[in-house]
Amino acid sequence: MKLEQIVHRMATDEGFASAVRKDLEGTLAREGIQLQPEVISALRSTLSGADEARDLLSLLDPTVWHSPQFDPQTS
Amino acid sequence: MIHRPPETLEDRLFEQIEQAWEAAGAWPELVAAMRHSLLADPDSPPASGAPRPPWLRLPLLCCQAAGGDPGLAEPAAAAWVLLYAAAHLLDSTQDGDPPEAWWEPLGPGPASNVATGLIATSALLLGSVPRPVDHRLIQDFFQTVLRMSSAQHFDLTVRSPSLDDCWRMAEAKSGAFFGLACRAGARAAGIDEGLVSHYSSYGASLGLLLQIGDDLSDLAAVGVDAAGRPGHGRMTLPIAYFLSVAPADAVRELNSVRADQGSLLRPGRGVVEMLREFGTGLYLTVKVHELRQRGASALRRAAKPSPALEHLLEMLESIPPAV
Repeated sequence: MKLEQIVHRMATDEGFASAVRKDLEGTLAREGIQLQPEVISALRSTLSGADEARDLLSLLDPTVWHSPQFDPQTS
Repeated sequence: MIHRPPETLEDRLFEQIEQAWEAAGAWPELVAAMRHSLLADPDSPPASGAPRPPWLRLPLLCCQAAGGDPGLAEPAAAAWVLLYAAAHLLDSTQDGDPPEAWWEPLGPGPASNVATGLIATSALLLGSVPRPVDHRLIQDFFQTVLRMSSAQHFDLTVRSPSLDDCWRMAEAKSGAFFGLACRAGARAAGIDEGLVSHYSSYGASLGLLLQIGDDLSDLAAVGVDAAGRPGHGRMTLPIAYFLSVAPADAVRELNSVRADQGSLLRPGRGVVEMLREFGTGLYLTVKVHELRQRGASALRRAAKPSPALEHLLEMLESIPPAV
């Protein structure tokens, strides 16, 4: 199963989403879902920090979006 | 290892560019337009002191993180930023994006010609690199440009690219191009090619993060058409994800949304709500975390602790800005 299918299932199947949030790796193993370790790690990072305010889609609001602003300084 | 203030390095880069234009006999009208294209805020006049593109420092920082004098990466940095401006300009004209203020009166034809001038200047500067490095550097630059052009051709001509296609195009365009910046900078430090490849991986991750931000920005700026694609017709990652997972009735509903700005942000079931409902934000956020981790891991394998390394890691965390 690909990441997009897993994420879509999380978005549309509350039971699955809840199980993933409680026990990510256990749920994936029970469902026979194999993901690369870096994808599992990214999923864990997302779940541990996800809330509405951090939803990337907030960037679709032009009042929120700004071009990348950073000013790396060699020092 | 700092040998000169970075501002001095940047000034020297732009001096080299100006000298190349003068030596080639470029006409002042074209030179003025090319100057505009190199500003981070192209709507400001060049004499206003507007900031230069932040990406300019990427090859310099990578050279520095690799233990080299950033001055060694000057020609590569100048050549790369010229190509960056050219690619941005060509992408805008080919996509039919709203023009930036400086080239609006010119129109897309002359703007494309400005891009040609930038590409020629880039080649001139790469040709000024001392041998024996030059051959490999020039090959790398223009092989990358050819791969980017291939992906752009696919993007412009394939009507319904899949999500996998979109990632493949992003890797061949933004990923490859930012990988080149970092690879060229690190290579200038004279390190082993195995280590150079880690900088390349870091740059590729950075480029893909930028692509995610650009695709979201595109949707926000131009809205979507009746097929759910951005107004300029190019498929974006958020829509490609949606189309890859949504059932036919949801796709039909998205298609029924009127093509105007209000449809994107309208309360209730606008495009944003539909995208969110199917997990688009979550998917892209996972990808952002994956790319950040991949980029940081590659960089840490190659670079020793240093301020330059810290700045490069900060870049990963700052793009896109809201996650």
